[in-house]
Amino acid sequence: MSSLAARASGEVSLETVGRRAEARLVFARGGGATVLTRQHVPYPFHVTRVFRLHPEAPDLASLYLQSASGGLYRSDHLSLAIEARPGARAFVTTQAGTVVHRGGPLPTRQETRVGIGTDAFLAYTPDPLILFPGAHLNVTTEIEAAPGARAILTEGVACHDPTGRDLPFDRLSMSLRIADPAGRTLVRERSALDGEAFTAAASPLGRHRAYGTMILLAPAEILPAPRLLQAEADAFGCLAGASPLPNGAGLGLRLLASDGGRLSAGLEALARLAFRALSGCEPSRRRK
Amino acid sequence: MIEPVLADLIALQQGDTAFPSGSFAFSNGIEGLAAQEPGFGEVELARNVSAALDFRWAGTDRVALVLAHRTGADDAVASERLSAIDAAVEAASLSEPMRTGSRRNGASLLAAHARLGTPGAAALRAAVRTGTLFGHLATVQGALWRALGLSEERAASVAGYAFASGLTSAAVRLGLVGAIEAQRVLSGALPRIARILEYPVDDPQDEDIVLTGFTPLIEIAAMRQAQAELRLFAN
Repeated sequence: MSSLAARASGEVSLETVGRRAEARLVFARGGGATVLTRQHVPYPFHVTRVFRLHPEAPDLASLYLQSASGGLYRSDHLSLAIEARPGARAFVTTQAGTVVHRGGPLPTRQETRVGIGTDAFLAYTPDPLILFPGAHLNVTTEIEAAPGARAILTEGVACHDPTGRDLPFDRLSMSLRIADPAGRTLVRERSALDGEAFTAAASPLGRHRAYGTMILLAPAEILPAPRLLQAEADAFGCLAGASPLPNGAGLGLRLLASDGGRLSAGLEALARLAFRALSGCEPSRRRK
Repeated sequence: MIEPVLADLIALQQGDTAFPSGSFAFSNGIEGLAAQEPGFGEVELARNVSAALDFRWAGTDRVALVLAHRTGADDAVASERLSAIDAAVEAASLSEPMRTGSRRNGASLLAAHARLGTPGAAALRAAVRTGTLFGHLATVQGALWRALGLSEERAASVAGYAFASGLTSAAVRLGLVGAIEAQRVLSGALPRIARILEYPVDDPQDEDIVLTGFTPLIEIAAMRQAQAELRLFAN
């Protein structure tokens, strides 16, 4: 029985409906430091404690997101909201890529909402999503940034067949919206493609098999030059292009790589470069 | 409504490369692709024309054109609606060279129609000048071709043809393929365009204009080429 039919008949199981969870993290500035003032982290989300990894910037809070369940499953609907209140400075990342398992007629949904207050800094740089054969994923990212906010946001997808047969994922939809505090849309991008198109001869990725994006929000004078970012990606065997976003929203970068490993290395290198430019300090990470 | 034969002739005129639409100045990423891919030829051109049609024109430019055609610019309400469609194209175009290329091409087409006296062209041009309209090519095509009496279907057909022939013509001018190879690629693209034209375009719900696109390779090529010291095309 299909998921839709199951819903119509009232026979709703965990397999057909998937898990529903909404996590929320709020960073605020207080006492000269950034503090995680609110955290609601239901299963399957899990977070580490806040680390102080930047001696030259002791106010900067670092937090690692973990999955307690080994990835995203059929029809999951997981939402994450991260807010950096005015003046707060936070670095949120993951400890590994997230596997997206085979889906069904209803997509697995991952929603991320990010709010960055005035003079706040937020780097949210999760490792890439790894789409397994048959994965059906819908990724939505909503960003609201106040004037003077600084942010680094990355997103990446790659496909992998653990059986070695190079079977494609089913379908991928991605959506990005950046708005100002008044709700005015500055950037609104939607895309959708199926796994066969992703790897076809006429793929919009060319011969590449992994895709990433990085959004940088900051006053124009501190944004790194597109040429610098592109050269950094080149050094990691990736292909990147960067340019100003619509409506003066910031800088947008697209990245292509041969596989998830190169994509991950390229995105991390680019995020490091951007981190230095936007935060004024060298990014530091816990060993993964 | 105009007679079908006359409509066909107007459509041919609008799709003719002799019409001063300004499109000759834009390669829409082909020049950048050739720069980063040595040996770029007929096979590569055909693949990228297919990708651009399927993952850019079908869900972004075509949809904006159809919505603009349905809207027109006959009164203040329609003009406001047209501005919203145009703003959605702007917001959906992350790559600056593609975004500004679309605006500049739209401005060129508007200038030609204003000089020809096409109904509504002067007002649209004024709206671009005052900043109430970005003037993206798809929006302008939809509004102007409606004013000329072309049906929604004919307008979309002409735009799809012009989009593909613009890419193949750019490849010829760059010396990447010969005229016969370019026409072979274009011939191969025509059934794809015809298939795309069959996709329905729904009217927006809750003012949310849904444009979809995904052409990272072409956009990266255009973004990198925009920084080149020497280039033939504007994008």
